[in-house]
Amino acid sequence: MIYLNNAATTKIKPKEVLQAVNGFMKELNVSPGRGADEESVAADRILTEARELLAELFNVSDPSKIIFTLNCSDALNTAIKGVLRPGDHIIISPFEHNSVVRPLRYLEKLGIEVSVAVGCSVEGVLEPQVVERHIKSNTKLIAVLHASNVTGAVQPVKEIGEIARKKDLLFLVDAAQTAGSHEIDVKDMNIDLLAFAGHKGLMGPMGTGGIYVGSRVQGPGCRGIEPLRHGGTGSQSELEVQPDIMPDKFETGTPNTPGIAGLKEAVEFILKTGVDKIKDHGEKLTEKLLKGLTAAKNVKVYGPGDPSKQVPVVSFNIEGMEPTTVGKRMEDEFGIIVRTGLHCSPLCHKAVGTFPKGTVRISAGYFNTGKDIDAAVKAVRKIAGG
Amino acid sequence: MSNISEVNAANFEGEVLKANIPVLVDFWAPWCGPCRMVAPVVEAVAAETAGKLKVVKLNTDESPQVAAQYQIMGIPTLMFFSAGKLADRITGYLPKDQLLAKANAVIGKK
Repeated sequence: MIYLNNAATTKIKPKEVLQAVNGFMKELNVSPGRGADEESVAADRILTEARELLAELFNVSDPSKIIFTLNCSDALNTAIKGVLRPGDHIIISPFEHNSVVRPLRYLEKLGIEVSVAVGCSVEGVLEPQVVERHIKSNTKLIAVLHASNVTGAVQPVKEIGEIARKKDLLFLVDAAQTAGSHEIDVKDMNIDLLAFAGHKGLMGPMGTGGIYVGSRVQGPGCRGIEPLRHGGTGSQSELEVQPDIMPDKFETGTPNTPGIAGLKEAVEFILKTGVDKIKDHGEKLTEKLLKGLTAAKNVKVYGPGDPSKQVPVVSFNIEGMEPTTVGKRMEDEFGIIVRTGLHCSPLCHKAVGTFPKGTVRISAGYFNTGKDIDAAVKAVRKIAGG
Repeated sequence: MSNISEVNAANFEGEVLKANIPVLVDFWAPWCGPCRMVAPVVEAVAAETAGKLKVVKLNTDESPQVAAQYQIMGIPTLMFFSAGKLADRITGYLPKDQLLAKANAVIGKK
């Protein structure tokens, strides 16, 4: 079996990740920060060290600004619902995932105004001037994904971040498809809120994720962000209200410590390997994939079509065939796992022109090889009849 | 150079919605690469349907209100209007024979 659905989750993880999850549950398995004993302190240290490593990866100076969440959708909910108030306006790209679109469609009912930056190219790259055009007097937040999970297109986040800063707006980046495989520098990119998944490019376990909350969002004199949940934090237990300290303000309830122990090892693996090397490997696989698919008969490839402008995610369709049929045949006849349909991003498919059928999506991970891509291309060509 | 006339937010109603023949609107922007690819296709279809189909362009940068009204997420988007109503909609590139077939379907229905 060849697994090429890494945009959903990376199936193969570094072996250290598996050892760490297992090791934690076998040897420690106590609640972090809920006790002054040595083991509870050791469990808490795992969270602190994971925060420090993630801070290093994203160039965050203060690791306490990294908050652990259930996953990237939860991180995006934390940012969106925490920051926006009735009467506020938010601008999003037309390529956003449902984890941004659905919370916003809900918030619209509560009086929050949402603009989709209409009029972007079907290649799937956001034009910064289009975003700027949508700014209004009540605009508070701009939310953009770093790379699309449909087209793979990497967005000009730095340029959009500059616009947000210039206009004194908050800037939220959804790094679900780039964290771990592309350079992310919250300072250089003017990012105020960075949401990430732990189980995709970061190669950690499922049920991990997080958000960086920058100082422009929190603290005195700022706009303020409210937590999504309230409850036990293991700190300031004398208070009947949620503590205002970071990261406790946002981390309610016992965290997924075995998962985060795995994530810590995953981030260490990424830092040791080098994001550049991981990115380079992805580009090589994308180049091979694009070359093979664009040369195939009856195959239409969506997105930028340039390995330097996208993550290793490529969407395509075979003329006259349903995406689901193609995906099923790739699995049944060739043992290749891909994803078909709308990939939780109907808005993006509307922008690209592939709504409502969607596409077939091949997404490679760090542990995929050129041989995997060759096999996928061969399968698509066979199915497409050329 | 294109000889297809531009419409904008101010004259969209008169030029498109109240036109007495079906209209094809090419939503585009100057920086958009795929828009340049589809432009000759639109021109060729305009030439072959002259008198039966009115073909116009709308710059989404200059008339964002219209782009928002019709939820033009990605460009190029090609929209056919007949008697003021949206008759068909295509996002992205398509070859001339396919666009012509769609144009003829809209013209034929009228």
